[in-house]
Amino acid sequence: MAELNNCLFPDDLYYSLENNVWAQDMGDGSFRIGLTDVAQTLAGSLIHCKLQPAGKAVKKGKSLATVESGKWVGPVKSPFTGDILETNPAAESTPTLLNKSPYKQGWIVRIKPSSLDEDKGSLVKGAEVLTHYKAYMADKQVSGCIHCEGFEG
Amino acid sequence: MKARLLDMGTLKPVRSQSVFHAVTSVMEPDSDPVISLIRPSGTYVSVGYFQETEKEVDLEFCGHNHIPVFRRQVGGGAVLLDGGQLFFHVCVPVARAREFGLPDRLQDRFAYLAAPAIAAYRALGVEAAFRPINDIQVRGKKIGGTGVGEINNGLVFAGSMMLDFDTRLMARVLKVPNEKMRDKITETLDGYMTTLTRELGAPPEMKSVAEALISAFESHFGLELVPSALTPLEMEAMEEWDATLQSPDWLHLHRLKENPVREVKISARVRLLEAAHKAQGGLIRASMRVVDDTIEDLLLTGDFPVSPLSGLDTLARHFLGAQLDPRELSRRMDAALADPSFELVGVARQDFVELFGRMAPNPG
Repeated sequence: MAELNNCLFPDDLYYSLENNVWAQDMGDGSFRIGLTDVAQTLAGSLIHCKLQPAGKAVKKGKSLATVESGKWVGPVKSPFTGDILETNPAAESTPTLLNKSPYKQGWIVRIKPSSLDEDKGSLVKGAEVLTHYKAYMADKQVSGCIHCEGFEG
Repeated sequence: MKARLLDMGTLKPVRSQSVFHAVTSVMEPDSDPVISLIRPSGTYVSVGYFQETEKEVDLEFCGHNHIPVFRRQVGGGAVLLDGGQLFFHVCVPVARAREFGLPDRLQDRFAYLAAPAIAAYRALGVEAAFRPINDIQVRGKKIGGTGVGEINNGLVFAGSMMLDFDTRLMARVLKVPNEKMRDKITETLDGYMTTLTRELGAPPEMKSVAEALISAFESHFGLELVPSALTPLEMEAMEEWDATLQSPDWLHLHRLKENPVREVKISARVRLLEAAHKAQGGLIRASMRVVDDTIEDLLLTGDFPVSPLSGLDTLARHFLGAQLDPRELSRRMDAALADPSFELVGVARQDFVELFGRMAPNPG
């Protein structure tokens, strides 16, 4: 797992800087999506999470879920256009999982992209991730990640 | 930066909500920011996006008294809104947040966004200050809350200048487990909230409040505010939001898991908690006021035998001034139960452990 100023980035994931989410290739044409460690740091402790239902079609950049942190209600945006195949009920019942375990227990939805090749072009993976996030964090003035709810990799 | 100023005057309740939802929802990434000022023509209740309406609001009372209830796509809790408040909404495209000066970390954003309202209060002669996460306070008393919602490409910061506030009606519109808690809410609102009228001794002119606010928005955000009207697209969206905000599906959008503790948050510092526990001897109910995480007031009631009758009040006094922390509550409980001046029948230490455990859960 790559690390940058206490921010963790598992090696096997794709990252969308634009939406600050990760995507994990499940090997069957579907991808799990969740918030990055940087995104959960910027948001702070999450108190509510409402997921779009399984079966719903979403467009790239549109909302997969709505979350609330400290009186701020905002969307988690999709890195793909496609259909939501599955949602994680634990993300809705225990929203702090998105802070505590953003890459494992706190995954948000599983989606089947309909324009995978096109959408994948805007994602980064591997060695590129740290380079991109270094610039992103400098731009956003994020000095490091905060694991306000603890951290379970 | 140029921004549009929508000085909308007085609008009917639903419009006082639909305008900012509409303006925010149709923003394009390169749209100019919009600041709107609105005063509602009537009284209504606004519930936070993530609240379960029927658990928070006494819908029967509101229905009988013609008080509409709307859900907003903005965070926070249920509030009573009326003509004694001047609403402001700062609508900014998410893509221009940086250009607008908005910090990226959420906890920093509220302080930045609330600064003009604080400056406006000060210009009116009231020493307001920011209190994280999102309160504006005067000597520890809340003078209006704020919240943020991101809708499509826009974000809206919503707040109000509090000229006057009906604390009794605020307590009445909330759904509470018993009338004692309602009395506690009124008492706590009176003690921990304030208004421009209370601070200044007389209500200020609405016009001077609006002018102070506009001037503060211009200077704090470095904006050139251009008086404007709704665009045709915004008007169309406003009519759609009128319908959405009044629809039962939207009002009852969420069903949340059962919470055995009823909590009413008065301000960043102050909250009221109410919980009950069934013991062998009967039901024990606790209502507490927590200020800065310290129990300031505790009312214990029950239908089990207590001798003398004032025994529960004596027991409750042992907890005053305690931190809302399971270990401290456990220590206080040992001291309370060793007090020889009263006797409880059919209620054991474990019952209080369970009751207080719900109100002060172990972290993690």
